[in-house]
Amino acid sequence: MRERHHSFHRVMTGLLAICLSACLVLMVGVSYARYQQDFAPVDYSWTAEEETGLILGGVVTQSWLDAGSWPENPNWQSGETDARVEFSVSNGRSHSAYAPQDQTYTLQLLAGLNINDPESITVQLSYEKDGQTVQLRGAAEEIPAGSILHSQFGDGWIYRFFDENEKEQSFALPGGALHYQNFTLTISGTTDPTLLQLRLDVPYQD
Amino acid sequence: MKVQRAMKKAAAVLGCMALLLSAALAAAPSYARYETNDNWSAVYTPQKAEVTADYLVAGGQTVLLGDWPMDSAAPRKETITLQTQTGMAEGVLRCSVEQPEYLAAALDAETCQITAPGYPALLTLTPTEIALALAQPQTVTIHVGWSAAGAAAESLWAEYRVTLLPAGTQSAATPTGAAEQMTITAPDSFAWTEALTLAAAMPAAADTLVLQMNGSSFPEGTRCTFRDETVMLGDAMELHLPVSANETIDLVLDLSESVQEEAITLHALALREGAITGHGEICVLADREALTVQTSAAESSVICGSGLLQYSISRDTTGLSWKLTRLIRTADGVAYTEDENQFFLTVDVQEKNVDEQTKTVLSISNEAGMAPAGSYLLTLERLQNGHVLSEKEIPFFIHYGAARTN
Repeated sequence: MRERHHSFHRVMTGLLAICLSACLVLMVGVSYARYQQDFAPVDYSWTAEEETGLILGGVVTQSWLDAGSWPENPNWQSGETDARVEFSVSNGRSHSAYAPQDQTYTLQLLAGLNINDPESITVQLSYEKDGQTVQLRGAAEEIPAGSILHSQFGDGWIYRFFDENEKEQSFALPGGALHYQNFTLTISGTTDPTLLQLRLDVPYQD
Repeated sequence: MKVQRAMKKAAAVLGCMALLLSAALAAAPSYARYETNDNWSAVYTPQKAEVTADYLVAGGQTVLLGDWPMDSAAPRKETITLQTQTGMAEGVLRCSVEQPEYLAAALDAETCQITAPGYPALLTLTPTEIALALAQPQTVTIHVGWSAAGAAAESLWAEYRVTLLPAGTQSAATPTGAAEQMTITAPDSFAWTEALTLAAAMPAAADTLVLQMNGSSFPEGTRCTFRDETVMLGDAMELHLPVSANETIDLVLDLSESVQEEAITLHALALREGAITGHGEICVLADREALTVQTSAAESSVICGSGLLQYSISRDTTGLSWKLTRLIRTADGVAYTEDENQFFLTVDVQEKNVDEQTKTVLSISNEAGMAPAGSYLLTLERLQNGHVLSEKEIPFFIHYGAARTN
């Protein structure tokens, strides 16, 4: 009986020591991660919009890079029956300011409730991959009532883009150097005037 | 022994707490790497290829045609012009007669392709033998409606109403009689693109009110709203309205599609069994500034967070009122709804100095940042005596979160 009591006592004490050690390691790890973010050797600064280092901007061309000025805003062209926005996603704004880590992201288009029937418009995302033009058609679903997205945008539709395996298409930008991807989003079809919002989302990364 | 037991218990409790703390800290790094995004907004404003017509409207209306004496079998032709703002629309135009024993109705084409310049459809009305033999006046109603291709229901329609008169009917003699002065009231001025309200007090004996413009007929296209019924004149004609003795009536005239003059004189005659019992007239100037709203680029219709929008409107804000509604999902689709707190938005109209000019500025403010995100509609109306003279709609949008707009 006495031996069992001693064993239990030793086990609980050992467990306590292990757990406390784990806590200490985790705390240090979080601090170290923040250290990397705040004091990495690359010259860039973090803001609330750029926590991940990904930037939604205008189409990047070699002339922009050579000039050293970054195209800040997407190019929006609205016609009688369609509209087009040309934009880029990048991990920095110059060859000396970029995110160190690899990033993956997805793109979505939000549309207001003025589009009563989401099938009344066609949403298409196109980009170049390995010298080929890839075109993805957006599939709409209702913005869930009560969601954070709903509180930010209101009632409407979220168009997502899926690959050939019917999985939401994600895109990757390697870290450690300036990388970017140019896109064209085309919206066609007639509807009442409605708000559109192009979203760049970075999912959880473990 | 007691001390040992206490130590064991303390170790067990601390162990459990450490386990729980570890679990919490293990989750904490995940929450530290929260999902973030960047976004960019714009307003999509395509021009819908909607069909409009000069006599057919959404929800329908009554079009009055001038009385038709059945002196011959010659058909009567009415032109209905359909057009789109942009693009091309296809659909079907149909007609039917409620009293086919008196008139036959036909259109020159049923399936139509409508473009911006306009498509003139021809409605032909042909009297039957029964109509040619009429001994008493007979009112006939003809329904004309437009359906877009593939649509189940009509989107535009009208009911034409014509009174067939027996052959040989003489023009009505000019009414005579002892007439008392009637009180006619109207605004001093009006705008051609807005409606005109008119009120008149009937004499002690009256069953019909005859209204004339400038001593003659109102132009074709004039719309008159009287006792909640709106009719459009398909021909130039006087207005004959049923009234009662000592009644004060009011009506709304929409002359926007008529000839525009600097001033008009409205003449009113009260009749009792064909004899004049009252008369009055009033002159109204057509020099009032119409209600207008100036909107610029698309980004001026978006409020991000606790921002505001501003529009220049006409200086004359007499009778101006507004209503805020928000587009929401309903069981039947979508609908605009009101809110007793105006969605915590503030609408304000003030005169301001803009670019060294004094302008009337209408502001929509979400200063409190409490308005729900979504699509809104600000409806401006100019009211007079409870009647809407003109209406303007301003769609705008509210969203939250750090975002850029175009």
